[in-house]
Amino acid sequence: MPLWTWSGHVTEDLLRFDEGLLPSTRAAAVELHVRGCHRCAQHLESIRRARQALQMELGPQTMPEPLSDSLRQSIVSGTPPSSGSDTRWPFADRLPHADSRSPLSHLRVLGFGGWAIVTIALLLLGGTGWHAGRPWIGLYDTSAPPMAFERAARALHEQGAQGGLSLDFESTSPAAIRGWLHDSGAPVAKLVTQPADNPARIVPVGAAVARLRGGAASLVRYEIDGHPVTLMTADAGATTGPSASWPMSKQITHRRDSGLDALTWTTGGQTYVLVSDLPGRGTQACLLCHADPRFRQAVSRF
Amino acid sequence: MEEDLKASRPTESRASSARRPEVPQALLDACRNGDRDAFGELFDLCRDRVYAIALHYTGEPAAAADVTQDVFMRLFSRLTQFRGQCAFMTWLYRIVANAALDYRRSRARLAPLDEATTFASVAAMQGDEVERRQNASQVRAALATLRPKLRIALVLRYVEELSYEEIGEVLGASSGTVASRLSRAHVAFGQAFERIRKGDR
Repeated sequence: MPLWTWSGHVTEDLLRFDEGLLPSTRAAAVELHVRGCHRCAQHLESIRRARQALQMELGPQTMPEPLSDSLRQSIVSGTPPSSGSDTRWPFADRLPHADSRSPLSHLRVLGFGGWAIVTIALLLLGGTGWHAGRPWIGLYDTSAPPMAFERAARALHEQGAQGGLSLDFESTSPAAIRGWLHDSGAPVAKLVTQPADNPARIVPVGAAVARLRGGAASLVRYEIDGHPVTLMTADAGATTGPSASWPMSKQITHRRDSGLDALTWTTGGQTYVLVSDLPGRGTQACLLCHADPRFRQAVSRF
Repeated sequence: MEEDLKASRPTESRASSARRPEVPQALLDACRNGDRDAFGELFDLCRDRVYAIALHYTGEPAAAADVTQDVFMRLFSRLTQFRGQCAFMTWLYRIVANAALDYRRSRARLAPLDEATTFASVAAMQGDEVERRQNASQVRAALATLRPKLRIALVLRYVEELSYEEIGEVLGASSGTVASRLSRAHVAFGQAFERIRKGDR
């Protein structure tokens, strides 16, 4: 660490001088310089104020009990690690197949060849299933703590339901909302127009854009049969969300908390959260994006 | 002036390591052998320290919860890889630092939520408490402006009171590099802090 910079100032040494970490001869030289240098004296004063503020505010914290209890339970009840074990251990319940394991999870024991066959079979089955009117949708309940993106969606939903959230764009037209989101550079959800044969009354309300560090997130509000519904969408890389769904399928995680149902899934490089207080598990809210009667039939099975 | 120029206090001599928990080798061995009660014990020993770093780094309880969960997920899934080449706590700090640096914090819409919560309860506070909350909020906001590598160095220094050498071990840098980072971090923090304070007046 140079004592003197090219400009003759001792900027780099001021912190360690203030902390008392410089050898005595060096400290004496810095002190001498600061006495005659207004700039370094000001710099030292600024560092002292910064240190004082940091020392006052950055200190020990106690983990909140709900978080602590939840994590501890996950750890103690988890499966012990072993060579080649799931790297997500012991938080298996963070995965979509938490409480109701997906049949796909049991295929981990297959070798490369087995995987290849299974993948091809899944693709074929998925495609066939879809065209036969049976899209492959998995809905898995979980009691694991929600991730930040879902918590934000829940908070914004409640804020909106209480009238405390001002939308950036208000419209009852799905096409207009889509266009506005597109122009705003936010992720665009596949919002459809009210299908004539759909018994549910779907009324879009408007949208807003949230800025995430990794990109923008969109928030769309609408009502289904008078119940407020919030859909948040972000690029999967911009937030933490559930694992991506298998090709030709959709794995949806359901979490009920404080009277609200949240459905989360990742597909096509985007993560979605759907929050509502609709009857059942809120799956009716999926109708906003899926007017296809075959999808409605699949949803109605849950 | 004479007195003003003296070093404010010798930080390095603080008994920081005395505050750090000793993790018994037997406990680590038990964890490696899949003893679930041992996992719980290790969690109890480290949880508050992990959470404190995550909270001060992210500035948001919700984000801190995500980072904390990620840390313990990484810790327990990689425990069998820990060979004792460094102190366990150094290894843990490394996991915490990596998890924090990897975390992409959502901003904008999320930040005002915390502020709204803070302002909602301001009316019920006494004058001192309002000032303290405001100061804490300004420190958080100033920290948030720092680049991740500078911020994590500050957090390790002030929350865990690690020495320059220990921070270097955690971040994979020399103590000279750490000194330089901390120096820049203080300058950047100081400037941001002053700017935010003036803006709040």
